[in-house]
Amino acid sequence: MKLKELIFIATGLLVLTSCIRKEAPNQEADILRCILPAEILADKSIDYSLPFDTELKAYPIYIEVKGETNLSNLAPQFELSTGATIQPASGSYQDFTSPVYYTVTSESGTEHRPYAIIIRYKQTEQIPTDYHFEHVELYDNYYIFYEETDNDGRFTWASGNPGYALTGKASSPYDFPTTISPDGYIGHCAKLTTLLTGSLGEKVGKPIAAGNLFMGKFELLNALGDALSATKFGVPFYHRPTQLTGYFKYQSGPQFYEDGKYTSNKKDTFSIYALFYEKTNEMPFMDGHLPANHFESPNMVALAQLDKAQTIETEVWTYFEIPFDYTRYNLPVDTDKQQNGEYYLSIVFASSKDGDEFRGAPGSTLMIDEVKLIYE
Amino acid sequence: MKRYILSLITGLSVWTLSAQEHRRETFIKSLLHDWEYEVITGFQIGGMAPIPLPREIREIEYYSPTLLPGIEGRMTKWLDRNKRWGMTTGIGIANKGMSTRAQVKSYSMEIIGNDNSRLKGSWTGKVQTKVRNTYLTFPLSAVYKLRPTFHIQSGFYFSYLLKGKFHGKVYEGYLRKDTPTGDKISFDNGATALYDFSDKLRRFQWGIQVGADWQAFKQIKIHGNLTWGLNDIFHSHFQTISFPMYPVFLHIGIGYVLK
Repeated sequence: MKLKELIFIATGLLVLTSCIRKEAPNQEADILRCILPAEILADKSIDYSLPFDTELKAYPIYIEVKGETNLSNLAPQFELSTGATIQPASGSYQDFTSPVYYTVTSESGTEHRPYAIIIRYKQTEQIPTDYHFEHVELYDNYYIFYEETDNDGRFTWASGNPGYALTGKASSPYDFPTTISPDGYIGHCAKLTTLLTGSLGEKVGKPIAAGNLFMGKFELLNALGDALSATKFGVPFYHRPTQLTGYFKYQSGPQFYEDGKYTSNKKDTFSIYALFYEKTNEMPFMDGHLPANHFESPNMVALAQLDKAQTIETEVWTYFEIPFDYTRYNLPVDTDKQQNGEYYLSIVFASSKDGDEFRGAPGSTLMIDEVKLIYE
Repeated sequence: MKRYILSLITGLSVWTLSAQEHRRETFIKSLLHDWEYEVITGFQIGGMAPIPLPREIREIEYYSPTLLPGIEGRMTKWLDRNKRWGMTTGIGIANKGMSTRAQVKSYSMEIIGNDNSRLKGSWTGKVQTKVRNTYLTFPLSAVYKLRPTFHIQSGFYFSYLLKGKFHGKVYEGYLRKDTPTGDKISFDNGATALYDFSDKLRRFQWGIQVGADWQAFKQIKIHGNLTWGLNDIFHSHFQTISFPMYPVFLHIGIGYVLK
């Protein structure tokens, strides 16, 4: 039958021209892993996803080694994206007394990614324990809070701002959920606001963003996927925290939003809490899943959480004082581990208590100032 | 003298007019004569595809021609006495659609919010695409009779997009923001991003077509017609999909011959 033949030819043509072609050379140029002798590493967890450092003009990778290591002659080996190459070569000896710059070139040869590898002795520096929220630096289009440390260093706070930046909704640093305000209890303060993420946020299923500020890091990688794991809580702390004090103001947003719509019968509330936990290989970081799991974890040592009765709406600066509760977890603090920096601390503020699960009232505003961590 | 010229002109024009009228009449008569009218209903199987497939597409995991019905009125004029050669034209509504799911690598992607906010970059992962376009179509073909009940035809078609939908989602993968070495943003845990390029579809489409029909019964014809679009289904200034996509469809139909 001629018609049949014709149809066959036609389909054949379609199939022939539409074959899957050979894969294009890979365009990615990442350092996936950096390998050094295990015995010199002081901290085995290395963060490969730090944001571009504008001062170093490269993506930084910090590696902490033990005190006796000779930094001037180390030969790190690299695992790279498929087909990518690195200059200087993987396994070549370099002097790491200052940052060493590497460039990864993709298999396609078209893409390059500059890296700065910083190998340093384990930092045992005490983080500041008084937080004034006077200083910010501009990154991209948003502010990052930092506190000055005793030796001219900086301690930076993490926030969900990098995730909000993806929505393209903010046109100034003040449009972000986490920003600075001149109306502090003393000087400036942190201003956290729950905001709608707009059309783009909706398209990725993340309709609101609460203002948040915490110790740890925000992983952009997970911002649109498993968002709870994007907030990695904790920095090493070498003491035993006992109390968290400070001042807040809070105004709840007019309408509560959850499951993609507004509901009329709920009121938003904020959260202030602090975690103290033991870092282990199995649990290198507490993340947003912890509050979602009612702070239950075998690694938890102590929790300081503002009472429900105290999470009130107020237009005047209100003092808070929260003790760290050690009895709930009943996990003794080991002094050796403490000196090794195996205990982590994180102080967390959020303008909507369940904002990390995309429930809250747009407009809810939490102001925070003059926070103090008391320890023994 | 003047009057003479004037009457001459008048006479001439009357003569030419009547001659034209006469010629037009015969022309119209011949035009109206020997036309064959047919109403065809059927559906389109095919897709909007970059040809050849770009290297960014690694696997097509799912494809479904969303068999949408269409209707066409067709008229054929036989040019010779033996009805061997003819011209065919008409007007029709063609619904061209598809639904696909593909695994892609470093596929340029842009998620555009209604408020014009945009997130773009290089996507590696799954892309689901759904297309449903309704075109007003004018075919123009030469027909040749191979056998008394079998014709082949070849020519052009011109289409106007009445209603278009080109949308889908990306999921199970990651976006490298802006460039292939930009910040990596993972879409796991059921995270998806919706995209909609409906308003980037081009209104005017044209292409070539080849087909055949078989007269199964005295008044029933079975048609098979391959249409191959020659211009991108998107506006030329739409850069997000970095390769042109062409509609290639096989129209299978049943025709009822009116005369």
